[in-house]
Amino acid sequence: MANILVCDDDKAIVEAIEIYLVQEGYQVFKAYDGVEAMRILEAEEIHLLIMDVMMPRLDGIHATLQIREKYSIPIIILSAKSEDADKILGLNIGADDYVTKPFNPLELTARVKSQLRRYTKLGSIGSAEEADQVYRAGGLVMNDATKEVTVDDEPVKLTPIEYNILLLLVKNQGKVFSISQIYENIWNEEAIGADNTVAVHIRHIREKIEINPKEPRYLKVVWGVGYKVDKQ
Amino acid sequence: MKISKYRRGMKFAIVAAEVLLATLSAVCVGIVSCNAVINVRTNTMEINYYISPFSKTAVFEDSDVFNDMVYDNLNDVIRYGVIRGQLETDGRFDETKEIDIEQFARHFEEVPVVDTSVRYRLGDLIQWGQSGETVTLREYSYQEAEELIAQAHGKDTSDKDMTDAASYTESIEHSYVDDDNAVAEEVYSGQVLVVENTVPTEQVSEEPKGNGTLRVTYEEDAMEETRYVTIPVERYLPVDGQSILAHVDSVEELEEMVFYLSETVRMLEENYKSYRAYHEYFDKTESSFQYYILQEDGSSHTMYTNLQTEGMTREEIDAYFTSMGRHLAFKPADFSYETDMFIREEQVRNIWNSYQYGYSNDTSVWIGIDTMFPYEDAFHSARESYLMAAPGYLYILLSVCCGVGALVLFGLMTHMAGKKEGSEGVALLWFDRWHTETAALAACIVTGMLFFMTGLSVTELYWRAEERQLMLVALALGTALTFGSFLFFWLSLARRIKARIFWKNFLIYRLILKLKGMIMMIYDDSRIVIRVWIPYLLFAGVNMVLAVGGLAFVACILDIFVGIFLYRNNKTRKRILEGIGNIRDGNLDYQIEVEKMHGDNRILAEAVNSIGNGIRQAVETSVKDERMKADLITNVSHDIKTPLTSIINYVDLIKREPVENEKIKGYLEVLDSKSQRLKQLTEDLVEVSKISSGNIVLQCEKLDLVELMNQTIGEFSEKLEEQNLQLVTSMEEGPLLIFADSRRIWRVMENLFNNACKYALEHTRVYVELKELKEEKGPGSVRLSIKNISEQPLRVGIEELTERFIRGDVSRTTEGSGLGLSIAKNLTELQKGKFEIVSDGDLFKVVITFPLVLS
Repeated sequence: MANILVCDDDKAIVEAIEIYLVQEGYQVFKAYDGVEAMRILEAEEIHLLIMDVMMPRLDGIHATLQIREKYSIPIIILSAKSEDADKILGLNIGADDYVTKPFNPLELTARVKSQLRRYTKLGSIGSAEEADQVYRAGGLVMNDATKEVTVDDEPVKLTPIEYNILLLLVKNQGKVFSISQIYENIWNEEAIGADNTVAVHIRHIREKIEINPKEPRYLKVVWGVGYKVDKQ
Repeated sequence: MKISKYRRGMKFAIVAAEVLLATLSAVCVGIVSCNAVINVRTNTMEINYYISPFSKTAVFEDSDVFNDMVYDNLNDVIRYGVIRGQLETDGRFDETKEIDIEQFARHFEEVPVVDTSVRYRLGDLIQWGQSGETVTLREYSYQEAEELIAQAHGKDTSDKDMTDAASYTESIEHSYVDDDNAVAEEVYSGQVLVVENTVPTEQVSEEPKGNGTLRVTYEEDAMEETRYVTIPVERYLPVDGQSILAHVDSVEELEEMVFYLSETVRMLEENYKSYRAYHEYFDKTESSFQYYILQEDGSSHTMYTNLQTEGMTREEIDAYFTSMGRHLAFKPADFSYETDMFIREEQVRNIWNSYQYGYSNDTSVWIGIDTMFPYEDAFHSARESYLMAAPGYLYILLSVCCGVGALVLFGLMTHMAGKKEGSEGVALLWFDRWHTETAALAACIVTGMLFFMTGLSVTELYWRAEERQLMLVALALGTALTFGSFLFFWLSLARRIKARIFWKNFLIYRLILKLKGMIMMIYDDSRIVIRVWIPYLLFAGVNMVLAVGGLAFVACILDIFVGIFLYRNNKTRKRILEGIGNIRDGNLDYQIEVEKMHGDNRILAEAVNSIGNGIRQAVETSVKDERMKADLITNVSHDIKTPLTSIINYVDLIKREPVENEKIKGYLEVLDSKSQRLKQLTEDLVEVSKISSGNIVLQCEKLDLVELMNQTIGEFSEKLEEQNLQLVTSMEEGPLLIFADSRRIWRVMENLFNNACKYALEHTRVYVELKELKEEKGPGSVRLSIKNISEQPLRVGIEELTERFIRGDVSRTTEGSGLGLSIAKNLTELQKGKFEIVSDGDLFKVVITFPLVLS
């Protein structure tokens, strides 16, 4: 299986993460500061790095910058800093994901899986498939021919209405659809008055395809405007 | 109450006693001084003597009264001797005695008897004197007088009077009024002259013919030129029966004689009166006063005495008088003076010098007083009065005692004045509130009048021996009234001073205070007065002087300069006002240019600048502080999150292990939920501090609130169902566009709905209402309200619900950080919305209003 390096100055956290990842079948390497992490990276073959930001000797941000000079492995930053600015900074310097402490173990492992899948499948992307019928948005793949939906290769079961809504949004990636627009498109009816049916469906879709529905990666809510799927 | 009345009664009693004592004291003094006055009647007059109770002698003969009386008697008796010499012949009154008028009138001078002596009978002269003030005179011109003298010499007849008169009356305009007592008036040349008839008709035996009043009117010219001569109307003729005119040779001599005649008549008349009085007094043998005047002129000797024994030798007389109680012997010729009385020699010599002319050179005077005072005479009664004039030591003592008592009471009353049982402070009468001056005037007038009236009536009655009792009554009454009124004013004064209103109630004091206030007011404004009024007056004055002086042109130039100055001043002021306006509007970096300003304006501008700087610094400091606080909270929250992560993770790990014990499972649930709550709390805390410190950047765009509500309801529909809450919505047809930050407004909604889910009573309805509020101008606004029934009673104030870290005490134990409402409110307001919480019983309602924007 994959080798994962966990780097945090809090040993308890590192050990807890180790337990979770080992249960999932990963081999875990442990480091307690940036310098140590660099050393392990050079010594071992590491497929994914989980790293804290605030660490002694070499902090997570600088370590990430250095690592990105040599490696393209996925890096998940695990930080107590939850501000938007911190997240943006982390993602901009080359991190692939940003998880805030205190984290949900299930969410963390889900993200690890997701990152590993994308990293290992990277080579196969773009291989000639039934291009017409398949729509992709990052790890989300919709095969309109088979009506199958997968997120990071995990199949997801959607109702027909949910499928149609998601398909509409994935087909028009980047465009924001208001509730009435979605309603008119899906139900082929004039939207009469305010309704929250669409909103409820959207929520259900998010719960099925997102690791953390409150922080969706695919189906995003533009509050007061509508819904969209970002171009990836 | 009773005590107070008693005290009041006591006060009255003290006042009454005080007045009584003072009156008594005054009456005692009155009695003492009444007794000290004695009334003495001597031969000619009444004299009052004041006997001081402290200088009263034991024996009457040693007193001043006695000595004065003896002196008076001595004086009178010596004069009596002189008069007797003039009027008597051989010790008897002789009216036939012939008097040479020149010799008589000039008796003070040592004049030899002149040839032309005019002699009259003594009786005639006395009667002449008694008939009128003096000799009646008529005026003639000098020539007429000469003619008259010539006529008198020519005609040697004795009864010439009538014819004479008839002859010279022709030359003058005159008229006789025959009726003696009548008052007649006749008019000559328009002038009226009224002469009253002053000639008494009785006892004039030889009535001259033509007697009456002559009314004469002269021509004014004649009066000026003519020298007038007065000639007596000859009621009596000299002894030789010839007119006085016959005895003189010239007009000058006539005038001299007329003077002698009138003098003699006057003196004789006077002396005759005294003679009669003295005769009665001094010729009485029954008298305590005895005298003996012996006059020796060669062999003959005359003596005046009231002794019965006559013809005593000098030695016998000496012996006789020496044996008397008191005696005096005076022999001017021998320079001998001897007495046992308090009459000094020079006193007696003064008397003697006045009357020496009437006596021969060798005269001796003896007087003696029978100190047994056996007869009812002046000395006797004087002695009785004197002895009766009791020193009145008892009265003096009483007076002093009363006085002291009055004084003590006076002090006591002064002490008690204004004090009232049962009340603090000084009790004042209506009178005490009068102005001090008015009161003083009233006091002076009332007390002064009473005092004056008392004094007047007492002194009036004092000298009348028979009115003594009346005087004492007047004294008592007057004293009581005067002292009473004085007491009233005095006690008022005492109360005033005690109440510290004596000075305050001065009208003048108040006026001065007012004046002082005015002066102080001017003084306080002195800078303004000096800086505004003096230049203005100077300016106006210079203008006036120039205009009056015909230099209106110069005045115009001056005025133009002043106008420019005023304009520049106002311009500067306007710039300062602009600066103040800028600072008021929050532009704290604004600085007024002070370079070209002067005086007060510059000071003002600099002050405004420094106020602006001060405010800016304060704001900067406060923003910095708030930021530091937010940073602190953020950093602390990071430090909390790290251990919290471990807690959450290991709780989760334990839950994954097979746990048999149900209790431990329960504990784990608690740990799980509390650690999750702690997580939420730290996140909210960071958010709150960020929002309140203004540390967040809004990305505002146009949003449809209807869309937002639908999305939100969609998000929460399941959660609401879980809580068995039924949602009732009432919304407008969209879109309702507002300008807001999409994610922040979602946060507001999320918090509000979460709040409803957490705190609403189960199985109730949650009302969501979205309403457009239209306005006549502009796009209006939209109002969103969320109502629910609170599960727990709301015990905290509405305001506190949105205050940071404050939440209803009861719900503190339940889920949530308590910061939800606070965050919602702050975020709403950051996005220009209004956030309002209404609570009515268990009804909890949040109302948010946003301004609408045009699409």
